[in-house]
Parts: sequence; structure tokens; C-alpha cells
Amino acid sequence: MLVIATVLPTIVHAYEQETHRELSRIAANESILGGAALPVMQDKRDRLGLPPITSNQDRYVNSKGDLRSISELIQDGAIFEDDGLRSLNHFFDPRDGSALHIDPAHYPLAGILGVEIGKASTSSPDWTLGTSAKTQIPAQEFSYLDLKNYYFDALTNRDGNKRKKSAGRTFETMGRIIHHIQDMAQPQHVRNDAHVSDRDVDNYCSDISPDDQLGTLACAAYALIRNPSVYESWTLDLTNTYGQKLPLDGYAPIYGTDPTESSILTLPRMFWTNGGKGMADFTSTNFLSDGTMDQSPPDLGAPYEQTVASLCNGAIPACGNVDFSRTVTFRPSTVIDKFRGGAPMPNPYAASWSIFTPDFADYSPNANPPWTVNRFTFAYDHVYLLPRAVGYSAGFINYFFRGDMEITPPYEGIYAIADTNTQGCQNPSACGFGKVRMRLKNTTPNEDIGAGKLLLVARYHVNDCYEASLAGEYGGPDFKGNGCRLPDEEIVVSEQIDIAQGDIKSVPTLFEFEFKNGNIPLNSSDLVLQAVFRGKLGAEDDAIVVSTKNVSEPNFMAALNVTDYVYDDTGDRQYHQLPYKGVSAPIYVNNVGVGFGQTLPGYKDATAPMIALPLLRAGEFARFAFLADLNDLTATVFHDGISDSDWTIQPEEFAFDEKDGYTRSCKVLEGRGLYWEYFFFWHREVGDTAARGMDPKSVADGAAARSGRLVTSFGKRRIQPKASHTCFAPSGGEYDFSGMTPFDASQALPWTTVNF
Amino acid sequence: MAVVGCDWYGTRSFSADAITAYVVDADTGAPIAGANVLAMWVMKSGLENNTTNYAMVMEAVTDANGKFELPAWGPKNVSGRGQITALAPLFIILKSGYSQGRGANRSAEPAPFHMTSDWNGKTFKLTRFDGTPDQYADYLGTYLIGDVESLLRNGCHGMSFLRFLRALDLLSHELKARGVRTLLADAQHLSDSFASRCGPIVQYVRGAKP
Repeated sequence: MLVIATVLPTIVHAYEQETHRELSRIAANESILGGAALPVMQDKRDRLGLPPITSNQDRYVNSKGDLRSISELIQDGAIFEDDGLRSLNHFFDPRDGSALHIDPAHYPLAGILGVEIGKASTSSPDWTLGTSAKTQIPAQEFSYLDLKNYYFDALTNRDGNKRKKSAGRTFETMGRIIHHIQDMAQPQHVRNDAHVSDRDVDNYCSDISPDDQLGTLACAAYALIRNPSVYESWTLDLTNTYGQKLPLDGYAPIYGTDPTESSILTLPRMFWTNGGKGMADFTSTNFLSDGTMDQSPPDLGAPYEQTVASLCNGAIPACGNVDFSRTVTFRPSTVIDKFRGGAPMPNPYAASWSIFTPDFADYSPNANPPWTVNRFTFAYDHVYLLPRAVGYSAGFINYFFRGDMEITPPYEGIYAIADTNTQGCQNPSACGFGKVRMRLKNTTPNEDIGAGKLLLVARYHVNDCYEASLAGEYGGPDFKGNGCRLPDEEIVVSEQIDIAQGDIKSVPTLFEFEFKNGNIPLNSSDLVLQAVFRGKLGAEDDAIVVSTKNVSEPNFMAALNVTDYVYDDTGDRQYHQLPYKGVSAPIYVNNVGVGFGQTLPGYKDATAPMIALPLLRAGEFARFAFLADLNDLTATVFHDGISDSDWTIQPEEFAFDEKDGYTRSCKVLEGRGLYWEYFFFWHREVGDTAARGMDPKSVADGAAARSGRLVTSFGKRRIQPKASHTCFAPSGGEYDFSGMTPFDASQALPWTTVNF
Repeated sequence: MAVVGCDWYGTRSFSADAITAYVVDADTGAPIAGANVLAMWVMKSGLENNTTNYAMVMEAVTDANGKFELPAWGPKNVSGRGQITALAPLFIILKSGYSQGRGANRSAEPAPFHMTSDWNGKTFKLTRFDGTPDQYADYLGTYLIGDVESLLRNGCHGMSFLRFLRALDLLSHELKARGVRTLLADAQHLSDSFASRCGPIVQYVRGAKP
């Protein structure tokens, strides 16, 4: 046990912390999460529904309690993955799939160490993917399997604190996983070259008491195998000490914009090894390491000499106390990229023989060193390996988030509809949207969505000022701006739908989601709908596919009957109580309803009401809410057995924006003591004498025809497309209800039929 | 297990000589006044050579002649994990409009108990940054923020380089005012990030003279 306790923690090194941090930062930027500069990736990122990765407003706690942005979490994960004994599991030799083990040919203590380390360590892909049955040392909480669980929980857990915690773990775990991809771009990690050193053991052994016989023995054993990685410390020193820029650019992220690549690395393990195309494959077969100079491939070319003077000319950092008249012998090789193909690439400095220290700070004139590696071989390693470390890391992020679906509304154009009458639902969440219908289409390149489960999540911030009268909406007297918006995002989650292979197709297919554990509330703002699938995607059995749609917030439409008054269109152009100028009776409107349709080519206006009630008496009103896309919709009003002309409306957004604050597309309008967004009303004019006779008129469109006796007017407020948030809002005249007896919000009639 | 169970990390006593050095413009040779200099005696530890703490953190600001001075320190007992690296001290120099300056020792590991700096009496040459404000923010994010965060993450050394943090804070706001979209962490961001372990250091940073 002594030997194990002393020596186990001394075997491994990878790129050092700061190198991993920077590799991961760039990888995140270039991945789908960063969106890079490519519009196609930006669109995809929008569908993931994630905030900008450097957003100050969207920070989550990492496993050490720090509050970090998404980018920082990924960087932190890349740093933390080296904590403690975890790096025992950062090795993988793609030739035989082995984990870290000690080769008896290299280490005198191999007989003991080989057995014990073999017991303790797990190969990098097995450790990372959580696929090893072996007891993990240390316990693994950040595997690929954990990543999926964290992500799913971050999407669907209704407890906001747990959701945020899981979000933090999601991106930290992603950082930890891509750390492994980066380790696979370090030759020693993929050629089973155990580069041995540990600063704490160094520390202990440097100051050991002669009385500590057991420790002295352990340190003696340690001294035999101590062999710190010059490659890694040199890589770090270039940036950290000398401020040099590492060559990180030049290898476009895998799973980026080339759709053909998504058919090559179809499983996560393939990012490590896949017939020569994984990161470990590339590094292992193309590069040498200090402890594996005699291991082919790569095949080396004939030795040649180069003068120290030419090598050190302009070198940063400068060479040190060396003899510039000397020569260094190199052997070249060729580098083959089996993933992207192309001609073999030259590596003039694959191996080196020299009397100089690896950093060329010093030399031993009479030394007879073996073939080895040094700062000049490292430079070529960097040129080929570091850009791929970034490209594969970004590619792994892209792979994880590759699943894609397109959300479109059903044929009728709206996602949901809900009665807003307050009877039995004073709490706005109780009378919200209990059902959402949408069409989903699999848009994942080259991969089918198979069996699994499908959920719909509605994410929103509550407008805490909401009132049934809508006085607490934007423009209402009780609206208090940003203070109305509750800061914490809330979610509701639909019932799960079991999905069979082929259910989510490559053509839009209708799905219906029920919210039995809480409706989408009427007072939601910043609302997005997020379809979440977990199940088989392509060759991967358990993947997560997310598609997010920014929909309208609850929009409110009302039907009003104001024929308890009469409008004097021939006189003072005001409403008057009955009787007035010969008008004494109000008018009842039968079978009031509304249907919707999309304005896109190929779609028709509604032929039947979607929501209806049998009778709207004078002085009564009814209101409903709907969710739709932010595109134009056609609303059709039905009454008395007829359908009215089309009414084009533009659903509104109600969201927080850093520039404009908490605002809605349009302000609500006051009328008869309540506040309205879309409303249509029946009113009577002095000249109307007959009881019935329909002649719809669209005031908003400026139609002037008024040949009928009863006029149906449509009040509509809409965004002028070219006028940015200025809304068309008729006022005065027949829209002026100020003299009327106020409505009470609690008197809203219930809609009796909802065909949705 | 006996080895792990005893005083595994030990306590050692370190000291360092005073340092005087200079900062100049690499092109003109003119002294750069008001450059913030950060000196770190980094401690590395464990399997992966992780930074786990700092034996000492000091800062200075260059005078009109571009000169800065750091006093001698120690003997100071250093306990816990880690070894002071032989690079120590690592210098980072920040001056708005310039690429960062960096420097360290080049000597054998581990650091001696009494340390000197190869840079004592030497001159750091800073080059003007040739790029857009966005590129500058990205550059500083690449080469500076990792060290700054490490100083906060590993031992909460924020109070030891308040002037440097203030200079970074002002630079971040200056770049933001110029329309830079790349986030360069300001004092508030850093303070929020590490508040759980370091407390709200922003109030001290904002009160510091850059």
C-alpha cells in the first residue's frame, strides 16, 4: 500500500491547466454554442435556446461554488478535470484500447505498478463516456452519461434552483469531457507514455527526514520512475511565461457546416478512435513522444542536420547558453489526416538528437543522448495537434447538440388557446394554456430520430403585475415596468409522449402536448416553447434533441357587445344611453366565435370557429388568449351563422430587452373600465333600425361602407411593419366607450366551445 | 498510507530579494509610466502540475521613468500543497494599448528557499497592440484573465493586487464604451464569479487607485 499511495499519484500529465482553459475557450467560441460567425450555426444555436455563452445575465454555479458564464463553466471544467486522481483516467492507447499501464520495459517497478495502476485506471473514453463496469477511482460524476442527465434536468426540472445547478453542471461537464479530447492530442497520452512526476511527491521527497525509513524507500522508488513531461510544461510556458500565441486556429470544428462529416463520427467514442479518424488515432500514429521514440508509426525519414544558429535565430524564447556552431540532427515524418483526408503533410522535426536541453537553454558538450523530442519538435506537434484539439473539442460540443427539430404551428396557425374568464381561475396559472399543438420536423442532418420520449417545456418569466382587467399589462395603469417581471425563469412541463421509431419525421408532423401539472400561465412573458426529445438519434441510443421557438406571449382577444348604448353617427358622434333618438332596444348577438388561419400560401382562412359561445347580450363581453408565432395570422369572426371577413393580426411579444426594458409590442387600450389588446365589438348606430342585418366593417382598414343596419366593427391594434413598435390604435368616436358603465373583469362570459 | 497520513506537504520557509526593473516601449525605447506590474510566486501541485496557491503576490506601478520596485520578502513559512515553481516570480505587465508584458526565471526546479529574479535590473519591452478593440479584448481575455482568475480561485489573492484589478476594470469599461462586444471581465464580473469564496472584492477594487 505504501508504494501505491506514493506512486499512483505520480504517473500522469496532460496539457497543463491554462493550456486546457484556452483550448476550451476557443473550442466553445467556435462551436455551435459560440455560434462563430456562421449564420447557419447562429440559427441552430437559437433553436437550442441557450443564451450567449459570455452573457453576464446567464451565469450558473460550478461544482466549486463560483458563479460563471457558460463559456467560463466550460473552461472551469477543463481545468477541474485534472483535480486529484482523475488524471489516472486520461490515457488511451488506440492500438489496443488500453488505459494507462506501466510497461515493464520502461520502469523497474513495473511488476508492482503495472498491476496496481491497471486496477486503478480506466481508459479515457471509458471513463469519460461512463461505459466501464469497473469501480471508478475517483468517483465519476462528470461522465457523458452524467452530462445528458444534467442537461435533461436543466431543461425539465421545475425546481428553478435545481435547474440552474444542473445547467452549471452541464457546461462544466462538457468542459471536463473536451479536456479528454484535448489530452488525446498529446502524444504521451495516446502512446502509453507514462510521464511521471508529481509536485507534491517532489515536495515531500525533497525534504524527507532520514528517520522516515518508509518514506525514504518510497521516494527512492519514485526517483527511479520520475520523468516529468517537458512537452506540457513547454507548451504552457510559451503562453504563460513568454506570452506567445499558440497555433490554435486552422482546423474547422467537426460537425460544423460540412454535413458529410456527421456520417463519420456517429458515436461519441469515435471522437477518440474510429479507424484512424479519431483524435487519439491521429496523434498516436503521427507523433512520437519522449518515452516512445522507438515505436512506429510514424515512420521516420533519413536523418539530416541543422545548425543551432539557424534554429535559434529569432526563436522565442531565445536559446540560452548554447554553442551556436553546433548542429542538431532531426528525422522527418509525414502527417496523415484520415478524417479529412488530403495529401500527407510534412513534419521536418519528428525526432531529434542533440546535446542540448529540450528548451535549448543549456547543453552538455560531451553528452550522448538518445533520440528524443525538444522545443523544435514540439513546435511542429503544436502546429498539427493544437488546432485539431480545438476542432475536435468544438466538434464534440457540436455533436452533443447536433439534434435538431423544426417547430411550426399547426395548420390553424396558433399553438394554444385559453378562455380567460376568471370564474374558478383567479390565479392566472390555473386558467392558462393546458394544451399546446405544434408540428415537429426532424432537421438533424443525416440522422433519424428513433424511439424515445418527447416533452414540451414552456419557459417564461411571470408578469407579477397581471390583473384580470389587463390593467397590469404594458400600457395599463398598474404596470410598473421592469419591476413587474419576476427575475427567475419558471417552467411548466407537459406530459411525456412516447415516441416510436419514425414518429418524428422529416416532414412536419402534428403533436399535441397536455400540461396536467400546471398550465402555461396567462401572465407569462418572455415565453418560449421548447420541445425536448430524449432517445435514439442516428446511431446513438440515448441523445437529447432540443428545439426552441420564441412564440408570442399570451395575446388577448375580446368580443364586446355595446349595443346597450347607441352611437350617434349623425350627431355628436358619441354613445348615448337607450332610449335615444328612437333607438330603445339593445341587440343580442348569437353564436359568437373566432377561428384562425395562417397567411402563408396554401393555407385557408378558418371555416369554423375555434372558440365560441352561444349568446353575447348587450353589455356583455368575453375574452380569450392565444399563443402563436410572431408572423401574421388571419382571424375570422363568426356570429349568427356567418363568418366575417379576414382580419390580419400580428401577435405581440412581451419580453425584457436590455435596451427597451420590459415592454410589449403594443400598449393595452382602456375601454369601459377594462383594458384590451385585440377586440371586436358590436355597436349600434342611430340609423340602425332593423334588428338584424350584418355588414361587417373593418374600421382599422378604413372601410367606410355602412349600408347595413347593424355594424360589426373590428378594433385591431397592430404593429406597423415599418414603424417599429408603433401600433395602430383607433380612438375616439365609436371607439370611445368612456361614457358607458364600466365592465367588471369578473363578469367575462365563459366560452362554451373550444375546438382545439 | 503512512506516507499520505503524515505531514505530507510540510512547511517550508521562503524568502526573495528585492526587485527593481523597468518597462519601456519596444519601438521607441521610451519609458512607460503607469504600467501595472503583477509579480506572482506560483505554487504548483499534484498530478497535473496544477496551480494550487501562491506563496506571494505583489504589485507595483511604474513611475515616470518606467521603473518599478518590489520589496524583498520573507522568510515566510509556506505550508500546504504545492511547490513554488522555479519560474517564480512570474511577471505580468498591463498597460492600456499595449500587448501584455511577461517574464519569468529560467532555472532548474524546484525553486530555492531564497529566490532571486532574473529580471532584477532588466527592462521589459512592451509592444503597442496592433488590432481592433475587439481583438484587444479577445487578446487580453486569452492571456490575462486566466491568471487573474487563478489568483482569485486559488487562495483569494484579490486584495494583493487591487490596483492591477482596478486597471483591468477601467480597461474593460473603456473597451465596452468603444463598442467592444467581446466580454472582458470587469471587477464586478470577477467579484460575482468568486464571491462565494472571496467575498465581494469589487468594493475594494473600485476604491483602489489604478
